[in-house]
Amino acid sequence: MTAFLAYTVIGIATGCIYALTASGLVVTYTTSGIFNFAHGAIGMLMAFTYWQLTVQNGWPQWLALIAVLLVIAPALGALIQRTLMRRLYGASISTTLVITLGLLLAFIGVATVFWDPGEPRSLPEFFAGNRVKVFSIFVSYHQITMITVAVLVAVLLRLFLFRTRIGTAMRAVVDDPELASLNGAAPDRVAMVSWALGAALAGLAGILLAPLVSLDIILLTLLVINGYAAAMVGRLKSLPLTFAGGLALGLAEAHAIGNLPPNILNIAKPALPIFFLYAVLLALPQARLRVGRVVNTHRAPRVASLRESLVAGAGFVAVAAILASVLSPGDLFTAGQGIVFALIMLSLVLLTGYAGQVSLAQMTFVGVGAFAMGKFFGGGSFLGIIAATVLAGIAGAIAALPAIRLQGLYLALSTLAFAQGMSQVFFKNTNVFGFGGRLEVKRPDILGVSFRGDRAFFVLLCVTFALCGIGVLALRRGPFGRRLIAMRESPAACATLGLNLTMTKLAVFSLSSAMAGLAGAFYGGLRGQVGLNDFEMLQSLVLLLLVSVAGINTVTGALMGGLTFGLFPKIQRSLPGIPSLSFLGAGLGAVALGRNPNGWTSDVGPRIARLRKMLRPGDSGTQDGREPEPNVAPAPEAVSSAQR
Amino acid sequence: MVLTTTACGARLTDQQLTAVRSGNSTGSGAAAGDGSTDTTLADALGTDATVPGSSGTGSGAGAGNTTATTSGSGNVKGTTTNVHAMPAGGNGGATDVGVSATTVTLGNVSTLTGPVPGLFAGATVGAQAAVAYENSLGGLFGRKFKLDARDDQFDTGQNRSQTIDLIGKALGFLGSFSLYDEAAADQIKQANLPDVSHALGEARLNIPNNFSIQASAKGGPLGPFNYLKQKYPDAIKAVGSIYSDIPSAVALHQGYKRAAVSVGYQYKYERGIGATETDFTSDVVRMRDLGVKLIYLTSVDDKTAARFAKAMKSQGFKPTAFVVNGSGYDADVLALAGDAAEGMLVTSSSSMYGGEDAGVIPEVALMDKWVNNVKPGFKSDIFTAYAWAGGRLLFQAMENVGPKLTRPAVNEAIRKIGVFDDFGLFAPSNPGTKAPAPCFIVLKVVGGKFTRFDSPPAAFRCADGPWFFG
Repeated sequence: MTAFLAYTVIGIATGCIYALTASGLVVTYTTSGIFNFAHGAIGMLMAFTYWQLTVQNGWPQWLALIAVLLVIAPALGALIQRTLMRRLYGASISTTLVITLGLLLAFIGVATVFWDPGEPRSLPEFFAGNRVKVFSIFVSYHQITMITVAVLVAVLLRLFLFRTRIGTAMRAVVDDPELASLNGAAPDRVAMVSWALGAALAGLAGILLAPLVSLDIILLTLLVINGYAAAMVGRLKSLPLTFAGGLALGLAEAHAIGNLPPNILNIAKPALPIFFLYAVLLALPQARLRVGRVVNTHRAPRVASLRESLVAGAGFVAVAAILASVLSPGDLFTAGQGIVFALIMLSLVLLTGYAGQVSLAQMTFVGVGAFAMGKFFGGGSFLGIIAATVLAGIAGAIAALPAIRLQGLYLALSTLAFAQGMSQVFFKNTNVFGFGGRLEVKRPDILGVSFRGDRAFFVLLCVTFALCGIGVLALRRGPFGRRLIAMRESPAACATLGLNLTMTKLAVFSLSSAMAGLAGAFYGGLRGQVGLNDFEMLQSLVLLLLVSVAGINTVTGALMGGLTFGLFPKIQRSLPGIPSLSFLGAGLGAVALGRNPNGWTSDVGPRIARLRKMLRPGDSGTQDGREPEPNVAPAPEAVSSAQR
Repeated sequence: MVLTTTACGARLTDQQLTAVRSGNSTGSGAAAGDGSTDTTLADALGTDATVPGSSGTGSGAGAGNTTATTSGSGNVKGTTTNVHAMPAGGNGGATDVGVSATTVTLGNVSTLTGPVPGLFAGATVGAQAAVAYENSLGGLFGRKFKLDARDDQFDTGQNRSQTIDLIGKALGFLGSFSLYDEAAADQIKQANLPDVSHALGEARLNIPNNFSIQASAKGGPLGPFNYLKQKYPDAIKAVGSIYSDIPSAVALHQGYKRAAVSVGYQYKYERGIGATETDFTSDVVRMRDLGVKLIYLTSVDDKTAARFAKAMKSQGFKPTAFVVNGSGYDADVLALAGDAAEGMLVTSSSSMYGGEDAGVIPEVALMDKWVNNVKPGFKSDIFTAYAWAGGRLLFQAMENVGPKLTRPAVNEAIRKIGVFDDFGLFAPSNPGTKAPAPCFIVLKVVGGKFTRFDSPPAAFRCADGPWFFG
């Protein structure tokens, strides 16, 4: 019994960590409608700032706390809202997710510049050295402080959001800023307060956690992921339930360590948060269908005709053939890498750009494809490519099964859980990548023609991308494509018209993941070997960021995004004086996306059309190179108070 | 992949990094110190060469011309020829790829940027230091050395392309260090160029022309386990182990465990920990409740080792022995753990290259001096030591070959060197046969510093047991 109580106490302390990180996330979502991937990064920055003030500059703790939590963090939050978030009302889930991801990477870059990650740093605990014995274990005063703060945060925030005028205004602004404005709320100002509050909470969590987990840039940033499951228990709106969710997860982990046999523990412990998240998501009530409404947003780019896409594809392959003959092996590899990522991003154009479904597991399907190519049919055969495509398609269908009940952000998070689960259960399995964590993947021979040479493989890769691009455009022009667009813009209308949304979602997920699997076969073949690090979940987020910045609605956007990704190391090498160039790029990309959610390539067509009009005034054609129909923005995910 | 690896997280990198550090092989062999031939150690290393003795006889390190040391040892051999000057009849000019009449180009592909900037920068710095030192002596046979260092940016594709590019430009590789070092293993093998780099990947390690300073091997060392058994005989009946939950670290732990079990260890608790785990209170409490007396951490990074030590201290749990294998020798562990690390033991097959052994092992001082020359203020790490020692081995082999440098000749010369310990910087091993190093030292944290414990002042323990290949 004593042991049970001891692990319960440990679980409560651990659970409060999860609850604290999740609470800030819930507050930001409740008051802005945006799931802030950068929440942990803000907390990390504030923890480092607090360290800088107290340990390095010798400030008193109380003064540093006031400075960080009441001045710096709120100012940062307000700045984020002012420069980025205020344009995102009504934006799609993918847009908001990737913008916050861009912020996450930018903040990591900022921290890396100011605080060398190679230097060991630690923050002293509050009331260091003091502890109390509870049952058979010692609980430090710092942990007691953290538990107390977590409880207080949950209670006080609940009261603030539901019992105060400003709290009500913060929730109202998310539902309908115009209506809130008519009732006397100042939406912009209220939104700034929301983000300031969220940042302050992130800072509070960071400062409390850092003494326990150490001042590690990446660890502090990613710690919030463990809190996603807790946030889901609260359905991203209930702080008491979020707190309960955090406690439940902490207790489960502590008792698992305390009681399970080691061989089961080693499998169960890492999978626990993932299955917890999955279980919570599946237990959620079925989401109500969103109703689309017309807002003043950018219009989608025009879709190329069959003739145009065939000509473009042929031209692309011709250019590829020329490049294959002139580029050095190193440059050929770089270009090939760009095309592979373009192919992966093309799968996201289909899924997210056309269908509006966000997947945070795309690299997982790439990994499944690479695995199949490396393992089946002798490794490196045409049948291996088929196996890669089919197996990844099946995996995509499995990942999409929760799509039957989930939408939007919850669906995206379910794919995140899927990716994490695959990482723990599949990719770490020694039967997949062996004890060395690497799998050799050969290039194929097709119909007696060997594509094992660098140049031949590059051309094959480009031909594959061209064919897939033509196929995606053909699909977009056809009835299935129209269904995808309709589903993206108004699921309720589609259901009213009798469209089978479930089968449409399953179909598009399967197609998209199959294409990602095909890309995986080439990904492995290009590199010669792949490993478990190549398919981590967060890489899917970065891909989503890059293709969104370039243009997630177009094949050109996928191509540009992929080439950017492939060329980036070369750019970085040519600018060694700017070591955090990647982070800077991510931050700028996030800002750009905030201004043009369709990505920068969406402006290319209209500019060409305007140029053509200037050169040939009598030419009719579309006015600005965009599709004639208006872009219907989805209603925001944050629901009205009637649903609380 | 810079953005993705950034997002990916250094935690993963830390864990794989410490799996690398922990792969230092340890074992046993003859008693060190007397320079006599020992069959057991010689058999273990695949040679009947004399075991290098303590620094008194085994070091003749590097000022000016080479000097004689223990015969048959892999260290610098005696010679009276001025090997640095251009020979009378010329040196043959461009005798192979990367060789000209005046220069020899060596390649290095290491991870320098990515989620942790400068992750394996020590490897490049160590190689640069070795090259700078050799050039300060005059080079070899009228040729100076040039290091072409590349960054794979923590990306397997980049590693492959950089390596392939260098194969066409360099005579060989020196001190490369990357988690993706298998990316171009086939090409390295086909080119048959001398690859004096510490291999992490099995494919890279297994190529005949890779000469890792301390090759890793399946199984585990019996030496440290026998030592601990002798020191703490009751504690080995109740062992608790924590290791990183990545495949290479899991394999390392399982090999070590098999070795330990073969000599009577009984494991009560073991767990692989994930990248984002930070709280080990439950593990400590469970180990305490199970009566664990010896805790062994395998392939955990400095922060995890520090957190575990702090968790033990916070719960007032003091096992008989708290042991961290090789990766525990890290000043950052002490900085992060504070007095919680007091009494921690570390078993290692390298000397204290961080400077503590500089007074008794001149090679440590020499390396630190030249590292500071090429990169002032740089703190030497294990990667620096590997690359430095690799340079010493490679230059010795080239000296033995003579002016007509070719890749196959250098490979053969390295194999003939046999046992090599870089004048006591590392435990003796045989890069040619890839036999794991059979010797080790024990370090203990005393007064907040690492000190040698139950180990000769300038040599290694070699009599505690062979390598267990089970």
